[in-house]
Amino acid sequence: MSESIELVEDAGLSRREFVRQVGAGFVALAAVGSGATNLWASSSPNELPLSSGVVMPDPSLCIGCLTCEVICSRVHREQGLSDIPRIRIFNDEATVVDQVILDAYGDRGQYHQSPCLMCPDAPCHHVCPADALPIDISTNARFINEDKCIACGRCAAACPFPVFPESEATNDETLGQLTRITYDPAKNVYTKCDLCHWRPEGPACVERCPVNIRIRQGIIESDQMCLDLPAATREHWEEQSRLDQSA
Amino acid sequence: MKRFALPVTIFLSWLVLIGAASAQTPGGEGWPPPSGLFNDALFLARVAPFIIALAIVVGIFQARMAIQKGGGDAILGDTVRRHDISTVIAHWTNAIGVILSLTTGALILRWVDYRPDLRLAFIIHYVGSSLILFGIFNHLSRHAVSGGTGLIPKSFGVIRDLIGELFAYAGMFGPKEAALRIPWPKAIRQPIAKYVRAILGYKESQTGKYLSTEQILSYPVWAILMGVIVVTGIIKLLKYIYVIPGSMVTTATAIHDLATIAISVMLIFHLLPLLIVPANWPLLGSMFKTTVPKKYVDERHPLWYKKLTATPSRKKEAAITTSAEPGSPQTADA
Repeated sequence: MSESIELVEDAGLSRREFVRQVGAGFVALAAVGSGATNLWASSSPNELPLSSGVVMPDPSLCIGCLTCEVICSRVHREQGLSDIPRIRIFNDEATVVDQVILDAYGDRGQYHQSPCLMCPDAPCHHVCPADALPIDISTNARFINEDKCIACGRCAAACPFPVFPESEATNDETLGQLTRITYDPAKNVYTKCDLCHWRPEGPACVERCPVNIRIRQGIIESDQMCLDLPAATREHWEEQSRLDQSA
Repeated sequence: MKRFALPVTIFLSWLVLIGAASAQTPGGEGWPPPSGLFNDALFLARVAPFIIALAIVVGIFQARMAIQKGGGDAILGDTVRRHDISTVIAHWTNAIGVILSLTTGALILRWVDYRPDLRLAFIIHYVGSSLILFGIFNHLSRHAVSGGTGLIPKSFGVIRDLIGELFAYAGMFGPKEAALRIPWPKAIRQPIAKYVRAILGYKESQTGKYLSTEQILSYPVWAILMGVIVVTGIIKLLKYIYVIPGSMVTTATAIHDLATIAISVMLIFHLLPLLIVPANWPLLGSMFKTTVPKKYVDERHPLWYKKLTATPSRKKEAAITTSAEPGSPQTADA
């Protein structure tokens, strides 16, 4: 035992060792400091400008005509973008159809529309590794830049708003869609509602919805629109969350 | 008890900070609805600096213990301790981290035609990344404090030795050190070996503790690749907290993805010499047992063996110690 003790010298602390240990300690303290700064900074995540509007559906007025899907596909195709509809209509037995619709169209079934809800914190924007989900300058719409999109799927995975099972979709496309952001296998990009931000008239679905047209013309009496474009406020999102949760 | 006060205090503080980091996720009052993928990344972004700090502090204490208790290369009966247990732990922490991150990275990048549950893939990727962060910063701090690994070449002669070793792997110096023990006919290999020795001045007896292939083709390449992966990964994490220019994020992503490819290739080159060169198998064993056979050291690392046996205290240690645990401090019973 004593020989081992003799062999293993008590090293003490040389100046060099002291400097090294203190240096490493400072680096550790700097890491803790930066961690504390991160905690303080991230308690209020980056504020993004609120979208000027959000396509807000009213399922009770939907007649399942798919005009919104068709016109969405067309206007985007004309722009050279993915023609996957960014709003999707699902069968939904829980929807209570408004009497004015039953009176105007008869029983056409029960539906539920699922566009992107232009979240205030936009997790899709933050998770994108390719800077392909910017905020439009004029409308503050969160849109996908298809030239930059690398189709990693993170935006779709990060979207907190689910959609109904695809088996309940009224069109028979099988896209594997789980949230408000969809994959287009033909173009190998992801797509989402972009409020048709380049159109002076605004979202094509809101403009061309036949129920909306009749409501504007006074043919159908309703205070609500089938597809409305209110300001992006918390109340509208909470209403949409309630609709999603009740489905 | 006194000497444990500081490390315990640091560890407890770390736990508190981790708790604080995990408690503060966005979406207060249930709004907006939580995004799992976003919150997972934000959590790692907050926790990463504390992982680094803990790794550094642990490394400092490991280095202090090694300095004070004299753990290091030593002859232990029929074996020689090549690594201490801290080195082995750091190596496998990194290795497991790389395997987890690489596997999930390949799935995320869609190198295979399979779309996994992205959130699960990212969670596993972040676990792997955390292990890599810990392993790397622990390694750096431990060796910064204790004075280096010996893996960094000290002269240009190592390039000569590298070429010689590669010829040895090719079987030019005989099947003993050849990959797959290929027995080239003497008529082919002897003239080549003669010219390699004459032109390069290569001698097998110049090998120290680390092979030249380790000093040039392994450690520095790993250091660069892991550095690139860690730095670009940190930039990609920081964007969840700070406003990072989009072009910087895109560039960091591209470099991170390229480094992934490079690491995949490097992993093959790391494992290949270990697996197909039987002369290297004791080195593979040392990454589990911490020791290599003394006979192997005498034959393959003559300079290192000479150093081990030349120091008087080491000679005594060789005489005394026969049953010390590999990796533990030398405290032989009289």
